[in-house]
Formats: sequence, C-alpha cells, structure tokens
Amino acid sequence: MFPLLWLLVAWLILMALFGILTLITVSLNFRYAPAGMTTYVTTLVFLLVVVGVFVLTIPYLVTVDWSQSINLFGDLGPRI
Amino acid sequence: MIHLNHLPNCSPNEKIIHFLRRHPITLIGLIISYIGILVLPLILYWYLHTYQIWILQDPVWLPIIVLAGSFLFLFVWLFLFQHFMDYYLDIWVVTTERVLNIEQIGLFSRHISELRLYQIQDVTSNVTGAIKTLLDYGNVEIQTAGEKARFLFEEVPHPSRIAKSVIELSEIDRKKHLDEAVEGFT
Repeated sequence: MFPLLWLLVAWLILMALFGILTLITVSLNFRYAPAGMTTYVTTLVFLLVVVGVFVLTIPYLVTVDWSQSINLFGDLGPRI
Repeated sequence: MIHLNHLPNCSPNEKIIHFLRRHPITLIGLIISYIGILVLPLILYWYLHTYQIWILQDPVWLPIIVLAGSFLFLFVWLFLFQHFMDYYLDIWVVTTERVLNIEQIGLFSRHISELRLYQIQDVTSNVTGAIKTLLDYGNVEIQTAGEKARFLFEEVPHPSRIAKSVIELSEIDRKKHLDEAVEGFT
C-alpha cells in the first residue's frame, strides 16, 4: 500500500519536465522557423491543446482526496 | 526566426528561386501512428465505461486514470509537435547565387551548409516507388567538384523540375563567375 499523494507528486514532477521540454521546443521553433503565419498558427494550436488538457484535468484533481492509500493488487477486481 | 528576405550572408541582388521542404505526404505515417496512440486512452475509456464501470466510479482508481491519461496525452502531443518541427525546420533554399541546406536534428543539433551555384558539377533527381511516382516527389542530389560533400534534397516535390532549374541556375552563375570556377576546379 502507498499513499495516492505519491502519484500526484510523480505527476507534478513529470509535468515540470513537460513544461521545460515545451519551453525549449517552442523557443527553438520561434528561433529557427521561417517567419510566417504557419509558424505562429502551429505553435498556437500546440499550446492551446496543452492548456486545454490542463484546464480539463486540474479542476478534477483539486476535488480528489489525496490522503487515500492504494493497494495495487487488493484494489483490483470488480466491486459488487 | 529566419526572415527569407534576409538570409545569412545575402548579397544585394540575390533572389530566392526555390524554398523546399520534404513533401507533406512523408508526415502521414508518423501522424497516423501518433493519432493511434492518442486514441488509445479513448478506447480504454470506452472499454472501462462499457465493461468495468466500477473503476470510473472508484475514488482511488479514477484519479490514477486521469493522471495517467493526461500524462500520456501531453507527452504524445509534445513528441508529435517535435516531429513536426523536425519536418518544418528542415529547409533547402535555392537562390540565384547559392544553395542553402538547413537541417534540424532533434532538439539540440542543427546543421547549416551552403554551396555556391558555380561550384555545382552534377544534379541528379531520383524518384523510386509507386507512391513517389504518383505524387511526384523524390530526392535531388547535387554534386560538387573534388572531395566536397554532396547536397541532398530529401523527398522534395517535383524533383526533376527542381534539378533542371538548379542546373540552369548554376550555368547562369558559372558564366558570371567563370574565373572563380576555374580557380576552384584546379
């Protein structure tokens, strides 16, 4: 058994990594891509989808009780 | 950003003739595979909703599914964008005076090479395969004198037209730089 909070912490670390990679990717795109609408539109679409995922995910995660524990093997199986 | 009106080391009368990237069809396989990965969580959600609905109502398992799903979606989306960038930032520019090869390899490697048109000795276009023939895309190989590296335009649209154009441009430029070209060959 381990606390559900650990998974949230792992997710937050991975999201920080995602943020760093996104920052590097977008900055490289703006530095080296040819100036034009396509560059702006593709980057905007990429960022909008990322923001959309966070907008959908975070409000749910705020409502979760992270003090619960999970038993990977014991919790699996249909509930009657 | 690269401004096409202000290429590096641009001379006053230099004009861009061709601005090339790989044919967009070369991205199709990649996009389909990424869309497949992105659709997987939706299929999993449908499966759970249909056959294992208790998991979606469980206060412990639902947060885990949301965390895993958002993690998978975001990273696949990021890798898809990075692959698009790899396509988008690989550029070949043919001007009235030179050929520029700008290649992005991953996030942290970038090669820019330049070739003067009068140095060109041979240009070959190569289209192999049914799809490439139907959609008219393939490789253009530019060979220079001596041991200098060759230039390769990979999977560009209308390769034979591009090759013919590069040959014509190099002949025009060679006439302009006849003395320099002779010096370069010797």
